[in-house]
Amino acid sequence: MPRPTMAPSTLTVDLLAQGIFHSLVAALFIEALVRSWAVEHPAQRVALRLVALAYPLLVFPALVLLFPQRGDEAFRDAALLSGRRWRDVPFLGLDLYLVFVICLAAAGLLLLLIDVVALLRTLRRGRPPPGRLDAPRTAALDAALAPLSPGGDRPPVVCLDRDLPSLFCAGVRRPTIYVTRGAIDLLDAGELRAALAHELAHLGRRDPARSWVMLGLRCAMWWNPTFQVLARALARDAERLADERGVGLGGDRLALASALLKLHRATGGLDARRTLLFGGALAGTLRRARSQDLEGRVRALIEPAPALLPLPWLRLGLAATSMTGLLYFVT
Amino acid sequence: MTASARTTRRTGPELLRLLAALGWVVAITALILAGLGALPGWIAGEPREVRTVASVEIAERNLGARLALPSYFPAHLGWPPARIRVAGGKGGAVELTFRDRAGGGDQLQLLQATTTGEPIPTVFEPPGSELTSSPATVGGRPARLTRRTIGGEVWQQLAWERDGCRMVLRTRGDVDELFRIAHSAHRRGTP
Repeated sequence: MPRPTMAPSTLTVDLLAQGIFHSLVAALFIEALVRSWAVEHPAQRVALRLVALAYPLLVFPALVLLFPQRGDEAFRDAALLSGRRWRDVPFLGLDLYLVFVICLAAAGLLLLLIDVVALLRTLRRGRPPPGRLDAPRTAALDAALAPLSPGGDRPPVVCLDRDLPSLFCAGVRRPTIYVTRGAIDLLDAGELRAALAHELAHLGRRDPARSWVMLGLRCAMWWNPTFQVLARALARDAERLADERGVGLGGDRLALASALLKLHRATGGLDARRTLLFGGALAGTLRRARSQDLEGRVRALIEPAPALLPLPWLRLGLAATSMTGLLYFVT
Repeated sequence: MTASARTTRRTGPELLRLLAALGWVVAITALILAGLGALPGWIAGEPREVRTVASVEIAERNLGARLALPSYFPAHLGWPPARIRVAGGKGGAVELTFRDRAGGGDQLQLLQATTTGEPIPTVFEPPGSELTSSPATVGGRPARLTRRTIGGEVWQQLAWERDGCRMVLRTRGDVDELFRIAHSAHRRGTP
């Protein structure tokens, strides 16, 4: 008996819907495991969330290609959930399945655009030219950097002549730490050292390059809202990971928490107002979300360093296998 | 106690906790997925084993059998069927519902099992009561003609067997037309 065939457009909608739903289930499944296993260390959180992020990129296409029988009508009897059954549900004369795909794809695109528009505006403004610091500020910066470069190799740090207090790491081929005059004025010696250690951790992991790769993947998965949300969650995890590694490099936990609070208080919400679509309406919500992120980071920093859970590879393997096993039965 | 022995003692309970939490999360996820999978059927008022398909060809592929269709088809009825419902997968049964071209509700239903001796599933049995029943014949084979109510209206129902498979034809229309349709039923691909 020939295998049932679907029209290309139906197949596309079907695969899009499955991809979106599988990603959602994978993300929630991993989130439930993170909480059930009480995974506190950001490195382990990143690893587990990468499993969920890799699902729509690698595992779902593999399931579709290696197990075409999952697309058969007959498989619906064995499936835990068949999204196509929603086609049977009448709702104001609409195809609920199609409505589901269109709404979620639009949500995915919106989530991507919010970040891409913000990034494009930042790029268009350009980075201010490097400035020269006066002697006391140069001394403060050198004093903060000295304990972080025990070998004597000064990390690539560029000073920016701006009042706005800010520290960040940028650059794909030659990642560099940028520090504004305002940040040196705002932070005391311990806070400046901790904040620079945090940026050094980003530099060591080449996080700017990783974030560009992530942006490319997000563009490829523009239709998948879960992928967009997961990518943002991973960016937050990367910050927490840099916090912990920065502490490991010589920064003080409480000093870093204090630096984060000071910088947030001095700059919080400014970017949201200026860079977003519908910025006026969303600014308050985004400022609150950023404050919550910061609150989480500060809470983690005032607690003792999180412990790594034992059996990390077994956890990853079991999480990936059981998630894939479950989603095999979701068509 | 050696370091490795301490590690083993710590690893054992940790492994148990890990597996217990994983089992819990897998079970809850499977339950939620199964619930969501059953939800469309509950909303549409259809049991899980019944599904609506888009064409006669898809129904045949699901059932793994050729369907018997009437070669006599009244001009006032629309083709293709307005609704095709399949129950039971391979070797199951199908219900084809036809509507009048001029509009209105369901006009004709053709139900058939595709396995010899198997009854038509009860999920295809609409609520209503039997008014009268009498013996009849279709192509020399014994049949039963029933007057019954479905949704407050009177329908004529003819039940017989073709090649050992149960067939049921229901109409809101004329009994003679019902018999002509039944007589003309033949398996697709056969003369």
